[in-house]
Amino acid sequence: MLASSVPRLLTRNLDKYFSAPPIRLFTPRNLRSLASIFRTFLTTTAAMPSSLVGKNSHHLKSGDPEPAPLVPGAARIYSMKFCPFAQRALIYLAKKGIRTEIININLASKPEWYFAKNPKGTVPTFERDGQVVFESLIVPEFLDGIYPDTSIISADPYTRAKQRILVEQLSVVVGGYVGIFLALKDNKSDDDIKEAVGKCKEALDECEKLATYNAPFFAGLEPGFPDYMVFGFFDRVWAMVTGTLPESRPTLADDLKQFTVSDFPGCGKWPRLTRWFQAMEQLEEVKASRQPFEIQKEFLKTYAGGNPEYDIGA
Amino acid sequence: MVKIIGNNTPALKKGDPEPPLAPGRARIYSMRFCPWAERAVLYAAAKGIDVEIVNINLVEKPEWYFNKHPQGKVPTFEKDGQIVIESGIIPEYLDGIYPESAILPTDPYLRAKQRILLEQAAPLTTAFYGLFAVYRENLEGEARDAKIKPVEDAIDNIEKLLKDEYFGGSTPGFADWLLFPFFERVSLLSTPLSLPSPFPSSRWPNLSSWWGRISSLPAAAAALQPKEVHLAFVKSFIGGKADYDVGL
Repeated sequence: MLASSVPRLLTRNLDKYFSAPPIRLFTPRNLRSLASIFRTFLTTTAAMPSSLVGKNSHHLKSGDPEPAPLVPGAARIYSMKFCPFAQRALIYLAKKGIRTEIININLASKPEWYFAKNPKGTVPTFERDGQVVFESLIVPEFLDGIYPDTSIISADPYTRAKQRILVEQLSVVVGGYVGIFLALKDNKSDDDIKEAVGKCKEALDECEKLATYNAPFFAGLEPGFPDYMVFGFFDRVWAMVTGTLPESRPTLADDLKQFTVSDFPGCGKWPRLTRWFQAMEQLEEVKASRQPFEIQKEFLKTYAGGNPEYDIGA
Repeated sequence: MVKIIGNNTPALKKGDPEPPLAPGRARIYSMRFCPWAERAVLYAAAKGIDVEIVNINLVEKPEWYFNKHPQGKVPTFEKDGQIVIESGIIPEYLDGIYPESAILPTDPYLRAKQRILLEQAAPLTTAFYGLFAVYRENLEGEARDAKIKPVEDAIDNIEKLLKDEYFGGSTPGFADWLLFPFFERVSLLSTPLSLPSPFPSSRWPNLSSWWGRISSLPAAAAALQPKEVHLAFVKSFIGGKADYDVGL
């Protein structure tokens, strides 16, 4: 069972017993505080077991045989350990508590059979009972469709639309990240990289405006669809600007010193985003999807160098 | 029964007041020649929703429009204080608030397949801009081919994706309506660019019969602009002075 679903179950049942006035010991606000204390307790102690199996399995490549067919009802996700798009699906599956087998795919040397699952050979691809669904923004909504009891995206059409619009708007950070990555990969001048970092900061400015002081998450008091869809990209910017980039280009260390591993993107300029990122990092579903800082940082070095080492750290 | 009103009204510009919207009334902010806005208009028309269109001058945007859409783009849908933007999001929202005329299937797998089809066809929605570039800059030779080939490749791929009468099966679906505006423009620009007519053509037989079927449906007719008017707009647009009210 997932950490954050425990208090929600509790509150639901307790509300049934204690719904009669006049004693309202278990008011929604009290219950929220209790739930929050309980959640903090759970997330700061032992890591909860995740429903994802094979997160760090070796990436299958050209020539490798297709894994054994799935038994009826079993779920599988084709992924890549460091792919922010695939991470969307991983967080979603972990949050929903769906036991899922992860098959990692070497994206530089894709297994031949993989194109039969997904013609473009991208990740993520989800498979269950002969149904194959790909595209990172389509898989999560499909998962809510086939596992509706753990639905994450709002069922209300307007809230749902607003959550999807937020994802679109927050996606400026994707461009910011890709700009830095390509500048590093193409071995551009320090000035070019500084410019790319500047553009990424502007993207962070835009995201900061979309966050509010009223709620810690983009979805509100609890994390939801927009939070899960964009976290992976912030995760990648984090590893890039605090690790990969300053180490690959020591000459830029001064320009990047405002970014630190423990205060990202930085309370000074982006207080709401920083609070959000730190809250996200504490979530079990995020932990279940994520790679450690050192490994992310080193992977990005190999990736920008043109020879991605997908199995790094395994 | 198509219930779109005001599709051919002058575009509101800077200084023009915001038209009041009565409770319960639905409105789409549009631009008569914008393929993205046309998606929303087509979808609403196909659903048979009562909608009024307010056209926006995208060069001189009315000040109040930025309260509807922070970047001032079209389409934007508004009803009872709820404002929804993005041409890929409005259609699903319309299915949500008018479920009795839902176009997307409710079955999660069929729904996902419709959305995947649209993603697979998406290269056309960026490649088609190349046709405008060819027209504007009078490109020839390799420069021209470099812009036209991606469009043809995109259509080759979509031709393979069409396995039924429509992308939605035996009736037009989500992917059909959201792709329609881009095929409309490919077809439109084939004349001034002296390209062989794409529909009908032997290169794309499936799409040719699809285009014949879908473009004669009442919903498509409601959103389509007459070819001469549309071409006149394109000429003004590539000339740098978009005439949003051409033909009115």
